[in-house]
This record gives sequence, structure tokens and C-alpha cells, in this order.
Amino acid sequence: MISVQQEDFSLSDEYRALREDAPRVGAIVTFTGLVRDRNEGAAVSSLCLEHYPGMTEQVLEDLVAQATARWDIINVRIIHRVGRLEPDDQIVFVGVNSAHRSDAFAACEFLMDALKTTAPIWKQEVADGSARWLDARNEDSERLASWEPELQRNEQLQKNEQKRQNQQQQGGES
Amino acid sequence: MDFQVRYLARLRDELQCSEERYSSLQPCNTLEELISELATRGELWREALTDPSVSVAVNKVLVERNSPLNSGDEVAFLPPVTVG
Repeated sequence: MISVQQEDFSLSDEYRALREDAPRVGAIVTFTGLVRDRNEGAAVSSLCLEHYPGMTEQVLEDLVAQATARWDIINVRIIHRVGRLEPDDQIVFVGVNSAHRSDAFAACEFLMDALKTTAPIWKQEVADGSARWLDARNEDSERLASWEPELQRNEQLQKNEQKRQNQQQQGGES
Repeated sequence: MDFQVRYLARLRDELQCSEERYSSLQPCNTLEELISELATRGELWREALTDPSVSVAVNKVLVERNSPLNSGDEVAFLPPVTVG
């Protein structure tokens, strides 16, 4: 389930939805992002988030497909709020359920890191009385890049497995 | 050729334009050709649209700047995202 919405969300509703896949579910990992009251030393009075409707949903669907292909997870729920938000408001939710915790932890963290650098959503911050568009942070790109070696390793493992199966087939035929 | 062109977030503010129906003066068979044409509007437009940190989506999918275009495509200019 993917939703880009102005309304707030309920953690208990999201948790309940992730439990609906029980008894296959052995682990539920959720992440909730909140609006901080300070950014780079300045007091934040509000944020205004805008997105590119249609593309945001497509990007998030694609990230869920990537996570589902890479980890043994059952279901994903992502909510991103847009519009005007104030400090302490909930801004983003990522929830993942799976049979075992390691897949749910990894997929949830990957989804959050990938979402931050790829979903077309922009923050305008009102701090100390003036509005400004926030700049992208290198730290976020570095966090996403940190998943690459593992992704490449997984792809290599898949290729190796394919090669092994092909060799077995050839061996069986001869 | 006709395009629906969108400018998101910071770019919308800088260019004072959120969306326009643009009929190109010359055939624009690639994104680069469309960008070159839009850049002739002035220095502000040239700087904003040729900024390497600005991404471009065609029909809501990110593409390279040498990608082909078809009449009727929706072209969107996206500043670096700041989300979450």
C-alpha cells in the first residue's frame, strides 16, 4: 500500500494492517519520521511539502518492487504526507512485515534511504520567519549508495545460482 | 511539436511558471533540443534548465538529457529532492 496524502496517519491502524498477514508474519518493522523543530541551528515553524503527483507513486511502487525482489518480505506500507506540516507532526511512515526480522529490518531501512533520494518530493521550510527550499543532503545520497555493494553482491549471487543451474542441466543432458 | 512542460518546487518559483503547453518553434526530437529552445528565453531559463543537478522526467519517468521526445510528451524539470 502506497499513499501520498495530506492527512495524518495512525500507527496503530498501520500496525494492524501489517498484522493481517499473520500467521506467516514473524516480524514487523516500522519507521516513522517526524518534523523536527530545528534544522541547521534555525528554529523551524512549519514545512510545506510538495510532490509530483503520479510520478511519486510510480517511484515508490518501483522501490517496493526492488525491496520485494531483494528480501524475503511479505508486505510493505508507505505513507508520505504533503502540504503544510508543523514540528512534531508525522511526515513519513514505512512498515514492512516478513517471516524473519533481518529481512524486515533491511528492507525498511533500504526503502527509507531510497525514498529520501529518489521520490520527487520537496520541502520548503519556514524558519526564523522566512521560507526557503531545502537543499539535498550528500549524506542521504551516501546512505543510498551504501546499499549498492550489497545489491551488486545479491545480483552476483543470483547470476552464480543461474550459472550453477545451467551447468547442472548441461551435466544432466550429457 | 507540442509538449506539456512542468517546473517543480524551487524551479517553479525561480521561473515563475508551474506548467505550460509549449509548441516548439523547431522540431524537438530530443530533450536536449527542447531544453535549448526553452533556454533562449533568457539567462535565468538557461541556467535553471541546464543545471546538472536538475533532473528531467518524460511522462513521469526520469530520463537522460539525450532521450528522444514525441509530440504530446509531458516533460518535467525536477530540482534535487529533499524528502522524508
